Amino acid sequence: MTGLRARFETTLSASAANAGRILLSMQLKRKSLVALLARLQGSTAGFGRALLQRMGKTQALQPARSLFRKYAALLVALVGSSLIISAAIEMYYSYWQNREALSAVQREKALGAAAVIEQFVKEIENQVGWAAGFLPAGGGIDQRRYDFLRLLRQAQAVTEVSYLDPDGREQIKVSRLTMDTAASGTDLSQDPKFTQARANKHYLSQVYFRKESEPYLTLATAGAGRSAGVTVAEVNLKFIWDVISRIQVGKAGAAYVVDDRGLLIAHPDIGVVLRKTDLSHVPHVALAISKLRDPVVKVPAISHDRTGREVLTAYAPIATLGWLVFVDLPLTEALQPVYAALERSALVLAAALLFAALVGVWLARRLVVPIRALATGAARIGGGDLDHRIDIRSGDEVQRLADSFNDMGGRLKESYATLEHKVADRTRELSEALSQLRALIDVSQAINSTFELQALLEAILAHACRLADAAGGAIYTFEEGSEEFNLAATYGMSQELIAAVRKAHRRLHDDGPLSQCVLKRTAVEISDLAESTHEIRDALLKADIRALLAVPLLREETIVGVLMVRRARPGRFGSSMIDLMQSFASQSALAIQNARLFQEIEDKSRQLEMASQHKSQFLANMSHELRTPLNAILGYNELMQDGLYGELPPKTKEVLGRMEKNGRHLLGLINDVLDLSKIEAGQLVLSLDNYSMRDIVQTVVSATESLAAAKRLPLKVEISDGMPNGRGDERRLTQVLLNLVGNAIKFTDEGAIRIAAVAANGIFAVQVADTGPGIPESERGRIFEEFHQVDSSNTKKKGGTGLGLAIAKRIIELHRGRIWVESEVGRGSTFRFEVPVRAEQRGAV
Amino acid sequence: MNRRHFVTLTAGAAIAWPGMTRAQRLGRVHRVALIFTSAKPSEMAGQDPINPAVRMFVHTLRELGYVEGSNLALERRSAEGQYERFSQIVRELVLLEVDVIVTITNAMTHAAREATRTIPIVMSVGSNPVAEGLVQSLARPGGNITGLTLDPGHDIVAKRIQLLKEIVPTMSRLVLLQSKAEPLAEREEVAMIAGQQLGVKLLIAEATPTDYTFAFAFIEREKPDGLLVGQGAGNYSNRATIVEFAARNRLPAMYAFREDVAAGGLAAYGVDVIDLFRRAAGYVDKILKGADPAELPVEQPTKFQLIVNLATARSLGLTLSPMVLARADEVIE
Repeated sequence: MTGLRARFETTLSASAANAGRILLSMQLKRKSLVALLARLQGSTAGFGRALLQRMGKTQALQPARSLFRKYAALLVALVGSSLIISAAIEMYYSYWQNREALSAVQREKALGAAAVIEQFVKEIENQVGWAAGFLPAGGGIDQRRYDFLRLLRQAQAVTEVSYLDPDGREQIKVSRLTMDTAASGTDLSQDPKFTQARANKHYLSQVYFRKESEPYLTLATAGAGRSAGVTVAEVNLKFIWDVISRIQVGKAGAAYVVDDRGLLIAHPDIGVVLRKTDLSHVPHVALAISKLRDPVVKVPAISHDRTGREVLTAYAPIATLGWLVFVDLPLTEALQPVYAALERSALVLAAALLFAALVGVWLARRLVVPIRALATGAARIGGGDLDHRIDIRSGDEVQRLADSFNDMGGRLKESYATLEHKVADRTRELSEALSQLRALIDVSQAINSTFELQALLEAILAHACRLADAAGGAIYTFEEGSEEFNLAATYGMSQELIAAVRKAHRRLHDDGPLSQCVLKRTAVEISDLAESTHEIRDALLKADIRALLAVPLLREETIVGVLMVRRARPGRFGSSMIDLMQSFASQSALAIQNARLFQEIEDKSRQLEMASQHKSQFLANMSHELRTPLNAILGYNELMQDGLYGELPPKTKEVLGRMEKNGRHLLGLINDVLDLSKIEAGQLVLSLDNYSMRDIVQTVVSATESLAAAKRLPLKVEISDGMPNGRGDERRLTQVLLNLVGNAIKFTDEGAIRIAAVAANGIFAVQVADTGPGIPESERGRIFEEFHQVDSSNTKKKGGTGLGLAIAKRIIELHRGRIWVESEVGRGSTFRFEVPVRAEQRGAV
Repeated sequence: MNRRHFVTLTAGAAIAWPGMTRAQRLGRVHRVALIFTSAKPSEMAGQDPINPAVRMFVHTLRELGYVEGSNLALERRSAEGQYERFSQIVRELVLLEVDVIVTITNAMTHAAREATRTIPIVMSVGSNPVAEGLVQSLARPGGNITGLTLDPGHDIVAKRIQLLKEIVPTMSRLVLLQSKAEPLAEREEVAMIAGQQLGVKLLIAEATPTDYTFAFAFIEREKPDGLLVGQGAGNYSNRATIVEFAARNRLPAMYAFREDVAAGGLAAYGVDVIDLFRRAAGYVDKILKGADPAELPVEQPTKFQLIVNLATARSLGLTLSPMVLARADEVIE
């Protein structure tokens, strides 16, 4: 009986536990949701803050000064580039202009120098001319000499002067360096100085170098008239040095004169002249010389002088002499003012750039400050400080942006507040629902953990009242038959009230809320007792109860009772509360029903147990009663067969033998029945001890040998070596094997019987194989049932109680083993069983 | 802080820079040697030497930026009339590793040439350097000798003779006063030919730079009617003596230097010898600045001037012809 109860309780609790687990998981799910919302409520701002902080963090990674630098750089670049461009253009033009100006000045100088030199030579020419012309032709030699001496006095450059008569013969020569000669008679009539002078009135020779060092020029003038001779003067061109050296060409520049062959005639450094320097390779000299012949030639303004220096050059030709005056100024010196101007410009540019940089920085700062204020303000608002307001009053778009940020901040704050409210509300609802759910679960668990109805109902009531915010409550059971309400459980009710209620003896149809509840099969509430006509109203009022709710306990359309909760204040309970109470009610109904059912079961179980006990008792008695006379019969039979009571005729012995057989059979039956009843009563107990499987097999074999031999069936035995010692009920196991082998022999007519035993994995596996008719599949399970034999004409003839396999099965199962059969109709059957090598007593089956 | 330091540094550098470069120039001491034939060392010494030639040289050097005691070391030497001493003097100077040697007469230049073929030599009063083998050509001396000449050749002697003949048309015997130490055989030859052409017999009187007694004795013995004083350094140094001798002996004399006429000589036809020293200093400057003497051409004189001393002429009882006067560039009363 207790076993049954226990079993019932365990299954119920298991299912309840499952239900509870489902509810719990639901609860957990809801719990996590609530927790999430709680977290949201608890830190709405925090969550948003975290998000925004992450955004803010990416911002912070970028350099906070990049805008400033950009602006500053942009402004400086703009101003700087325009300054540089304008300075560059100016410098370029100034360079060109200066160069042009310088070239012009130099050209002037060259022209001036050319003029002076030309003048110099012309002067000498004139003087010579005077010396020549003064004298009437054929004048006295002395006069001429005198004139020549005076010429020498006046024209320092003239080294020699001589007179050639109209025939070209030298008549007189006056020299500074050599002795004067007179009437030398040297014939110079073919000399160009004579011929050309006569032809053209004037003659100027090419420059020649005396002693390869001193430049000289031969000058010849013819006197007037055909009878005039020619006066020839040798002019030392070193005297031009006086002229040329006076021409200032900057600090390192020089003016110099070359003839049309490029030979240097005059140079500030007389030494260069005396070296008979040839300047025809100097580019601008060469070009200027060629330009004398070909005016198209362009002479560059910048060239290299004979030392390779770069010079600014200008020149002027002395047409009459075929000479060229060059004025060379070293380019560096020439461009000195240009460079100075460039330097100046550069300095100014640098100063301007510096200024631009400063201004640019200042401007950038001014631009950036409000933007930065915006950035930091936005970051703060984004970071959660929704009260922060960005203060920018620049009156432009930036300020507008700041204002919109502030707006946004305010609105965010509002929406957060609203959100918080909403979340708080929801959370509260959820926690209420959660606590309700919890209560329900507790109740369910409570219901399923105990069958103490009283305690259970009180627990339910307690939960219900708590959740309903009720001061107290009661559960009534309802008897369908008696139509009575009984107070089954109370909560929060004073003794007085309990007494009052009990006394009221509520019945159906008494117009109370209970009756109404049952009749209407729905919840009934009284929101204000003061206004109702409740029977025990006064008592309730006295107990400070102003509102009550009655909920029917329904169980499969049957009302089993009513749940009532009572509140101290008036007011409706609300549909959600009513629903909740109804769920409590159904739980209570379930509890009540369970209790009732269980009570029934318990009663029935008790009855059953008693019946079983009677049966066992009977069987035990009966078997003993049955066996005793039977044993006597058999005993006497044996004695008679042994001849103890006199020799008997063989026929009598045969008859006695048959009687013994039948008797033994009957005994076996009785034993089997007893065994079986024992097993069924759960009273079959194994006596565990060590055994040897080999021995068991041997025992069985020796017991059945003769039987097998009688039917000419070979009995093969295969026992593997090294079989461990087993632990179990040797007698019973022998019984099993005996039964199997007996059956095999009994049901096999031809072939062989094979017994095999092996041990593996701590299990003995034994099989008995026969070559009998086999067992059809449909029978294979059922043969292990009591009183069952394979129904066929063959087997029926064999006899047997049909109990053997059933008992064998029980025994094997008690050993915690298993037994089964493999068979093929027409071929044979193999009965197998496996038992643990070390068997333990199994619990009562 | 950095900027201030930088500015100070650059400013300081800018100020100090020229000083630094000047110091560089100052740092190098140029050694110039000046050798005179007969000048007294005392006359050569000092910042304002008494000897006008030396003075001109020193002053010109100073004008060109060479200051004794800072960047110039001027080695003044004088052979004091002893031409044998030239070699020794020059060798000394070579050992002193002077940068330039300034010589006077060809004899000195020869001696210098013997002593060194590397140290530049500036002839301040050279003569016929090509013929003497001192230079390869006037335009390109080609060796270590360059400088100035006193005359454009031996012909000048002929000119002087002709001029003297013009001044003293009656001249028939002419004595050429030469220095023994300065062999001028070609000159003598030219003089003789000129004399022949002019109908003047030429006699040679040789004196040593220190001793004229023999020469004077010779001249007094020969009783010429004209004296041609050679243009040697010895005659220059002893001009006072010679002028006085000529005056004593009532000899019309033609000199080579204006100083002679200023001292009382009758006439001189030549160049401004002092100016030659100025130009010599210019040569020294060029050489010290790195010019190669082989490439510095030898300068010949251009301005020859006839200077006549009327007082002396009067004292000699000479009347100068208009031709002479027309020719004379300077007349000293």
